[in-house]
Amino acid sequence: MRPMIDLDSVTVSYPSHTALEDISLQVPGGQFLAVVGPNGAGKTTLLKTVLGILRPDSGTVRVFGKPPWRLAEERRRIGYVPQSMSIDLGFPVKAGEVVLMGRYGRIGLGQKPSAADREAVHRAMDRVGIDDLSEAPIGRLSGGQRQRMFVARALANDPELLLLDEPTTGVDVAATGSFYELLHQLHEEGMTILVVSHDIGVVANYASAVACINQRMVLHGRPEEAKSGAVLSCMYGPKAVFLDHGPVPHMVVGEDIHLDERGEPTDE
Amino acid sequence: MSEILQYGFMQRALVAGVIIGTVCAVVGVYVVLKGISFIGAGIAHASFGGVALGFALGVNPVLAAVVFCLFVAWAIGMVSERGKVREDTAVGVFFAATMALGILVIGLMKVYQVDLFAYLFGSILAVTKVDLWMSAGLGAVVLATVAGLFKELLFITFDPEMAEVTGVPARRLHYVLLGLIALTVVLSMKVVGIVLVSALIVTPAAAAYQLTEDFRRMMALSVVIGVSATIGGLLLSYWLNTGSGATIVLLATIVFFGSLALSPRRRANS
Repeated sequence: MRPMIDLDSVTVSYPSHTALEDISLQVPGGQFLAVVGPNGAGKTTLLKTVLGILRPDSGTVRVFGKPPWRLAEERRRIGYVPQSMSIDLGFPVKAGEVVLMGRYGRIGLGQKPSAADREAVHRAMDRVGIDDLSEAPIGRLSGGQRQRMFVARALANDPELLLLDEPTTGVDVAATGSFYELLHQLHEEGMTILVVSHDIGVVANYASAVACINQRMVLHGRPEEAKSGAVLSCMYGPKAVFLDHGPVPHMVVGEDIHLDERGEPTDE
Repeated sequence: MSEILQYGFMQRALVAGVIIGTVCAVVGVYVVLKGISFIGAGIAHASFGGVALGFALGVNPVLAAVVFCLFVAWAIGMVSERGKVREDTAVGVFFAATMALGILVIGLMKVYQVDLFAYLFGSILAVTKVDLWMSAGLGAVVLATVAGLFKELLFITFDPEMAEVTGVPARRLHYVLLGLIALTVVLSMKVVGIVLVSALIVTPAAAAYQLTEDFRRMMALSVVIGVSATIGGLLLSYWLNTGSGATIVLLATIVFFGSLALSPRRRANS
């Protein structure tokens, strides 16, 4: 079967620098792929390339078998959750309105939303567990609720592919866990998911595949492999240690890390 | 009060004031929320070049300003979209260049134009019947466009990238919005003045922003504040014998500081 996303030796550059170099990546339908890498590794650029917002300098990009900037109706099959940091939290708009915006492209220019559109909004908000917040101004939502709202906006179009950019930035630890639990459930129900994150530890526990990029592809494989020392040092430098225990797996980068008998870093 | 309403110029100024207060307040909501008030100021100053060219060519200055401002608004959009020049840089360049062009043209005409002072700072005496019809016509175009594209304009103001990704033509709608700002500037310049019109676009919407967390309510409040400031300012300027544009803008500014003091937003954020 044709992969849903197919990148072949893709290079993307900005006027000042190259963001992605020679990236090849296939995402088959039904996969939950986590793309991890340090800040500035080109993760957001990768998403924007898949969305067709950016075009590659060389290489080919295919989404649903077409260059993404040529997608017409198929665009609705993609749900996108952008980095929420780019949103003005003081904007006078309610959560339910934001979710409804996800369907504006489908509703059409100058047309009013129908009962079916409102029903889709209701279903999407219910699916992510924030149906009671439809009248809440976005500035009053917690970080976790806000992320669920953006996922609901993406789900309002009944997409087959969900792209998420650093979805748990500014979300506390408990809410991060339950957020990935939600993505996990969506994946179980058949959704293809591509999530971009700098937090390799959390993501690797929920994804079915992991790609590590740092401008170039460092590794593309199973989640367990992503925690190997080779990947960590390539991404975060030779002093990185991955701690996979306790409620949240985490990573420590330091000059001299000493671990006690339980594997916790000590102050020595 | 009834005595001043007998003057034809005052009747025209007040009707124009209602139109201007409404249209500026509506467009201002998008300008404030999108954070492009500098573009508003830039387009406003560009209208001076249009007015001067109108005088030089013997064309109706308002009509000349419409064409010129639309051209400048879209040129700013295009130059900054190419990504080679930042938007505020593009505005900064056009802002000064179009103003300079206006001054140059007036210099070449070698005739002192009394009317030009009215265009720069606004005058209640300057509103002719033709001006009133032009303001009404342009205002109707702006308000009809906002009504027709209401949900799309909200979307591109809140999250343009997401709008584009979900199939809403955000780029083209951005040009529509720039065009609306240009028309708003032109229909307001006779009463408020080129130099002050951007303040009447920004200030009522900025005051309304402080008072609500609902988009439609913000727009309604902005209109109430904009129309009140315009009518109040016109009456005050008549009684005090002051410039209409300056009086209107200062009145709106007082309302802005009042709403800043009352704002539930600041209490919520602190």
